[in-house]
Amino acid sequence: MKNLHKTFIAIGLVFASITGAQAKSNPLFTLENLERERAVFLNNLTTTKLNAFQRQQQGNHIIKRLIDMERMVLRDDRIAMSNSVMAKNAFQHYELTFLVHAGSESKKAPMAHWLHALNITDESIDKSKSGAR
Amino acid sequence: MIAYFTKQQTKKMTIHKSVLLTTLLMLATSQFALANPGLLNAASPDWKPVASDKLIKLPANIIEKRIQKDFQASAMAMRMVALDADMQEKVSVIKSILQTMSELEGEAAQNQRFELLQYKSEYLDLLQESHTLHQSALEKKQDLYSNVLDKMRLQTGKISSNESYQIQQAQIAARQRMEKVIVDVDQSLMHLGLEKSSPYTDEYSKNLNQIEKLKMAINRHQTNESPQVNGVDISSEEYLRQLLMGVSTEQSLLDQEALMLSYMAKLVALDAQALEYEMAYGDEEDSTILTEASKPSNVTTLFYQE
Repeated sequence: MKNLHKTFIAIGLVFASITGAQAKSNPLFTLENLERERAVFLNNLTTTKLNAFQRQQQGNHIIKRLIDMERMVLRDDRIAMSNSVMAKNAFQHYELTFLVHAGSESKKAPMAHWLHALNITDESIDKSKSGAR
Repeated sequence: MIAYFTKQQTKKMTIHKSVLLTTLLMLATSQFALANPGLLNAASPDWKPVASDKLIKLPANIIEKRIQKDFQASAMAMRMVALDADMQEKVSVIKSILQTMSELEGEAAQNQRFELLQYKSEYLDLLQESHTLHQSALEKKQDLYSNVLDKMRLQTGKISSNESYQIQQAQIAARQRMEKVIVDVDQSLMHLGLEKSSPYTDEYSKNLNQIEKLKMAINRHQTNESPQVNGVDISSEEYLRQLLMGVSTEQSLLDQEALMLSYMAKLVALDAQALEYEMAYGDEEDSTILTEASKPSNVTTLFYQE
């Protein structure tokens, strides 16, 4: 009986340590990673340091990483528990956060999908002027 | 037994019985009045259940068992068990008296009737107390189930209005959206010339199978079984509503029993009254004899010779 009691305590401790470890780690870790990767992806479009071939090669590698990261974010239950504005915005603006999966829905490449979601067209780019905001 | 008493002793006993009968009559009348719900005895053994947060966290079918267990350990339930045993005893005595009564005559029969009335009155006292306790227990159960249901609804409301809950719902919706295109996205990798899937994708699908099996085992586990009514799985809220309906059913049956109790008390009162009149004014046979003797037409022959 005493041993059984000890076993229950041990199980309880293991469970507590697992949940405790989860509670201590940054709940937005996966989302932050995705945001970083997404920023790199958008930078890949605007950077002048790359030629078209390099841009496409790097873009494809980023897309592969984005696929995994988007899925990780959508499957990570800790994000909802974070109760943060960042998490709320991420899920509210699915079209802009999950570029690869949302692009697949609209049958567009991720970058084309992003531009379309923000209503950025060739015409609007031509009309735009560079300068400090 | 009465045959061995002297005349004086019998007279004393008759006075004693008469007083007792009046008391019985009063008691029976009071039982009749007390059979109405609401007039509960303040000093009766109590049960004070509380809808604690710990109780609300339990599965609904366990909540019912926990409440029942708590009730069974209470002074109220113990008194009810004791009352049941006492009533059983009284009923068997009443039955045996009724069986022997037909064999007796005269004073002995009257004594037996008196004894029977005493037992009936005592039985009704016990029944009255038991009924009151049942009524009180049901009221407490009803309050408790209602409190648990209210708290459960409040918690659900709090959760649904919670920011985290809303994010969670948004995430679930987004996940479902993602799962619809997951195959298309994987295929699009091939078009990009990235045929080799990532370690995350490989490991995730492997683990997913195992997770599904574990989830099924958890769902099948008896401790995790959802409450059932007539073999159909139902929600905790629905289960509690069923319990409340059960309490209402029991209460309406108790009301009916209260009516029966009042009628039984009235019958005992009438029996006591009849016995009292009989002792005070004699039985019908005596009065018939008097009536026959007092009729002039019956005695006219005594006054002349034909």
